This record gives sequence, C-alpha cells and structure tokens, in this order.
Amino acid sequence: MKRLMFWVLPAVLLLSGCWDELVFRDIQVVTMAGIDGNKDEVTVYYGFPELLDSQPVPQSLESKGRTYSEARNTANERSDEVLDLSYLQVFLISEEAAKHRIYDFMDSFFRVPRNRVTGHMAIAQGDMKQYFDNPGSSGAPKNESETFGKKIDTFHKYSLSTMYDLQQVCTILFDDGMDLSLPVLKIEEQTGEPELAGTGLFSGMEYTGEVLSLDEGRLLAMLKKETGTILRLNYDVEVEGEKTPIQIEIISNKQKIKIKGEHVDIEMRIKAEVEEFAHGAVYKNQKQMDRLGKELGKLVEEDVNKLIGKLQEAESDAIGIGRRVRAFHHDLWEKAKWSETYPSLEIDASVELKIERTGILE
Amino acid sequence: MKIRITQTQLFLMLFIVQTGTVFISFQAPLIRVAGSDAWLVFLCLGLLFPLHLWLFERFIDRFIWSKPVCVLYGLYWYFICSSLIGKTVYTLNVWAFPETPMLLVIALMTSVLLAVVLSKPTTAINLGVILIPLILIFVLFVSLAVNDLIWTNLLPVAHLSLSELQKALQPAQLPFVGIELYLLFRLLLPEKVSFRNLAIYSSIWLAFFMYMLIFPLAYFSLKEFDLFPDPIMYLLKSQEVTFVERLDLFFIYIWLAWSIVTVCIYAFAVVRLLTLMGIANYKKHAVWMAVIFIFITNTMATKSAVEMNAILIPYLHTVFAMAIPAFIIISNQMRRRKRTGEGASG
Repeated sequence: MKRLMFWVLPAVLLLSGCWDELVFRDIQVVTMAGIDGNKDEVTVYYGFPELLDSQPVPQSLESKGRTYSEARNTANERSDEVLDLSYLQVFLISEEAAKHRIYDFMDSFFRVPRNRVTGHMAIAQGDMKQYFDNPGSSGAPKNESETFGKKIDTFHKYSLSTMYDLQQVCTILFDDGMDLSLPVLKIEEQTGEPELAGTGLFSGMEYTGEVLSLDEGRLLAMLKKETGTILRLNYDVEVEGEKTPIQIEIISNKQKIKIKGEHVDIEMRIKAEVEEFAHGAVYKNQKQMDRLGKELGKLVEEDVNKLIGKLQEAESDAIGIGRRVRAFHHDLWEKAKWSETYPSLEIDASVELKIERTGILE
Repeated sequence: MKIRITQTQLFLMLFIVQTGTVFISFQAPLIRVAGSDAWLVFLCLGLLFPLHLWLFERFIDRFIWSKPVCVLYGLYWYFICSSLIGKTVYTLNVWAFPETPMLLVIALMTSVLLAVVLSKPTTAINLGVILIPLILIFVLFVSLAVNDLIWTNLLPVAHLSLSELQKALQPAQLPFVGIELYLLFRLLLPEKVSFRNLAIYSSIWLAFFMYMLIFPLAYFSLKEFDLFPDPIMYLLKSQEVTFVERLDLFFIYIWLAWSIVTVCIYAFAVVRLLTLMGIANYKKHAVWMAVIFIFITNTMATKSAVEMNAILIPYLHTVFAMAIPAFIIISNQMRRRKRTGEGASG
C-alpha cells in the first residue's frame, strides 16, 4: 500500500496542469507580430493562420494603444480567441518605432514566460500593414510567417546580414559593449515580395536610420564572425590590363583585435575560394594566384575600413569592440561612456587574403 | 533498528539538499551586486567549502545534539523546507501553472513529503538516486548554450569595492545552505570520512555551481539580470531543440522533482531529530507538522516572502552552519565533552 502511495502521490501532482489546460480551439496561435508607432501611440499587428474550409488561411489583426500592452489587450478584446504568442516566429518593428527605445515595445514579448523568444526579428521599411496584408505577385496572401521565416533563414545562410532572435536582441540591447544590427526588410513594389533592403544599425537602444548595403552587411557578418554557411564577395580585379569580375567564397576568417591606447588594429586573415573567373590565365602559376590574393585582400581591406568608418559615424559599435575593451582595457572603458569613446577611436583593419582553392574552374 | 548509511549515500543526500531549488536563482542576486566578479567571488568562497566540511568531520564528536540544539535545528530546517516549497510553488505559478490553486499544489507536495517521512528511512536516503540521470540531462540542456556564450562577459575581475564584496557574500552563500546536515547525517556513518573524499565531494559541488553561474553570466548581458530572477529558466527558454517546443517547461518538471526530493531529505533530517530527542511515536507528530506546514508554506509562496527569504536565509545559514556549530564545538572542547551514544543529551 505504502509503495503504491509512493508512486501515486507524485503522479497526482501532474493533475495540477488541468487548471491551466489551453485547448487549441480556444486560442489563436500568433506566428507573426509587428509593431509600429512611437512612445505615445503603438499599433500592433498580429498574423495568424485561421482554418477556413479545412485550409489554413493567413489572417491579420491590427489594434492601437498608448503602450504595447494596451494595444494587445484591445486586440484580445476584438479577437474571438485568446491571442497566444507561444509560437511566434517573426517579429517585425517599423523604422519609426525602432528609432525610439525599442526595448519598451519588446518587454512583454521578452519577459512573459509563455511567449517564445526564439523567433526572428527584423526592421520593416514602409507601412507595416503591407507586411500583413500584401497580396504578393502571385495573388496569394504573403503574410505567412513561414514566408518571412524562410526568407530570413536564406539571408542568414548567404550571410547577407546579421540575424538575431528576440533573446539575442535583448542581450545585445542591454550590453554596453556592443550595438545591435538587424536586417531591414522592404516590400518589392513590382513583385510584392518581401526583400532584404540591408542591415540597420543601432546606437544603444535606438535605431540610427543608417542602413548598410548588402555587401556591407556581408562584411559586417564576417567581422562579427556571424556568417551563415555561405559568404560570397564580388570584386573587379585587373587582369592583363582589363577589369574582370571575380567572386570569392570565404572559407575561413581569423581575426586578431589589438588595442593600444585609443588605437585599435583589426588583423584579418582570410582564406578564400575563387568561385567565378572568366580569364583562365590567372591560374597560370602560384605567383599569379598570390598576386590575385593580394589584390583582393586590398579591396576587402578598403571595404572593411569604409564599413568601420560608417559604423563609427553612426556611433554604432556593431562589431562589439567595446566588449573587448571592457574586458581587457578597463581604463579606456572607464574613461567615458562607451558610446562617446567609440566614435573617436582610431580603428584600422588590415586584411591578408589567401586563395586556398580555385573551385570548379581549375 | 539502527540506520546505517554509506559515504556515497551521505554525499548524495548532501549534494541534493545543497543544490535543490537554489541553483536556479542564486545567480541573479549575486551578479547584480558583483557583476563580472561574481564567478571569482563564488570561486574564492567555494574553495573554503572543503575546509568547512573538514572542520565538521574533525570535531564531529564535539558537536553534541542536545535537546535545545535539536529543537533549534528542527525549527530551522522546518523553515527552510517551507521557504523552498514556497519558492518552488511561486515559480511554478508564475512560469507554468498560473491558474492552478497554490494551496492545492502545496498540499500535494506536502503529501508526497509525508509519504516519504512515514515510510522506511531508506526511502528518503535513496530517493536522490532517481535524480542522477535527471541532473545529467539538465546539465546537457544547459550546455546547449555553449556556442552563444560571450566569454568577455567574465572580465574584468577584481574591481569590487569592499562594501560591494560584503554585499556579494550574502547571496553567494545560498549554495552553501544545508552543509550543517553533515553534522546530523554523519552520525549514521560508522567510519571516518577522509579529507580526500571531502575534497572530491567539494569539487563536484563547486564544479556544478560554477557551471550554473558561469553559463548565465557569459550568456546574458549584466543588465539583463535586473529583468529576471531565474536566469537558468530564461537560458533554457532561449534554446531551440527539435524534440520539445519549450525546453524550460521540460526542465521545470526536473526541477520540481529535484525540489521535492530536497525537501524530503530535510524532512527526514527533522524526523531524525525527533528520534534523537527520544520521541518514539514521531509519525503522529509528523502528520500534525505536515498540516501546519501546508498553511505556513502558503504564506511563503508570494513574491515578497520569496524575496525576503532570499535575504534572510544567508543570515540564518551563518548562524546555523557556522556560529552555533563553532560555539558548541569550542565550548565542548574546552569542557572536554564528547558525544556518547546516539540520543540527544538533556
């Protein structure tokens, strides 16, 4: 009897879940959310699949409030079912909203235990409504979070920008030694499809409005060592007196960041594969290859330095140099607020590029 | 019948008691005060742990369980049990079961506790065994975050002022709570415990808590610790795995089992005190204590009580794990009194 009680009693504990049972028919599973507005008025958009004739059809709901919580509450009051964010896959924030302290919009998404924090986050250019209602070129509604989720996965796979989920975004927002950079989406006018416009830079908790191009986004991902599986760069190199387009794929990227006083040296050692090159003459001998590697290295170095200049101008330490300074150069860290020290630093990048292999054309 | 345990059983009970419940929540208050120095503060304090155990072992015969001492420790452990269950139920309520009546959860947990106390002593002694695979699974879950750790978060170190260090020492003591149980459980062990074994146990204990501290510290930014009290839960929530949607909910059941076993061992210790005091029919007392326990714990399962207990327990720990044992051992050493027999002296 006692033995039976010993096993039965702990099992009884599991019954406590009965009070908190949530039946799928009573909830609306929100897979995509968007925030637009400013600190005085927030418009929230929810995208969710609804079953119509046994087929999931993307639907959306919009509501306004003074804060996100108020807007969400209004949305709940207008919805037939309880809005459930435990399966949130994509979280979009408009450029206007992102220019304010974005954590204020995100707190509820982040801290409510039931909400999912592994969904992708991106900045949306233009009217937020079109991301939820846009019919797309094929006429089918494109507000499925899956469409956006897959797009963002592809951007990451090709290292087109830096990608973070809600948890990572919050960690960076609260980190004084690093600034956030997020992919910026736009709706392509002709096709109605969501596209990547570039990488948006943040300074502290606010979006600067500065958007890096796709090429700069790739370099930023490389500098941050947050590349996806593929990172390709395109350059024009001079071969036999003629400008020739060449594509390289980064195989490995090693970095050393040296800080001396207020001077930062970023030494990059890149191994790359030549993906495309119309002039077979380049592969004549090792000397030719080394010359090409050097030339490419210079071009990458030039672009990286331009990018760093742009980051400093935007007062955005998206690379996270501040993390190293805080850890290893505390005097410099303590000198002033990092957001004030960072733009005045002398940062130089040097790139040593070696062509490791020549891919399909060899 | 005399109860005898092995050294493995002793250390397993001690490990469960010391880790259960607090391992998810001791990080936030420590990191809030000590920042990146938190791991160093805890490491330095943790290195004293084997010494503390060795002192208990060395002077075990001088620590005499008199009746007033038994009553004092009984009340202390009763309070610890109540605050641990209070914390567990409060966390469950916020995290997983917001609609389930807390009193019911407490009553169910207490009934498990009572069932263990009323059954054979070996039940409580060996109960920790079921947690061994769960602990390994849990450590594996936490390890999933390894690629997202920012190691520079652990630096700089040694930048704390003396007053900050003093403040940091308070939450840093939470993982040490329960060490005084060694004085009681050691009575069940016939042989001496070597320093080597004490050091091995201390190393496992220290490695576990350093792991639990370093992972959240390197995973989150320092300011995030102001936002949530249980970083391990958030760390697990941030992990995406294919076999379960919410890793944190999966973990919460492991933690629930861990907490229940912890409290069962504390309850077993209280029952041992009753028998030391010569109360033969402890079962009747145990039932009444359990009924009162439900109502006391219900008042402990609130935000303010949980926060207050987190502040109060380190002070109580200083009294019951250091001050009282030191006082008893020194006074008995001076009077050349030694423990004789198994019962409590008057």
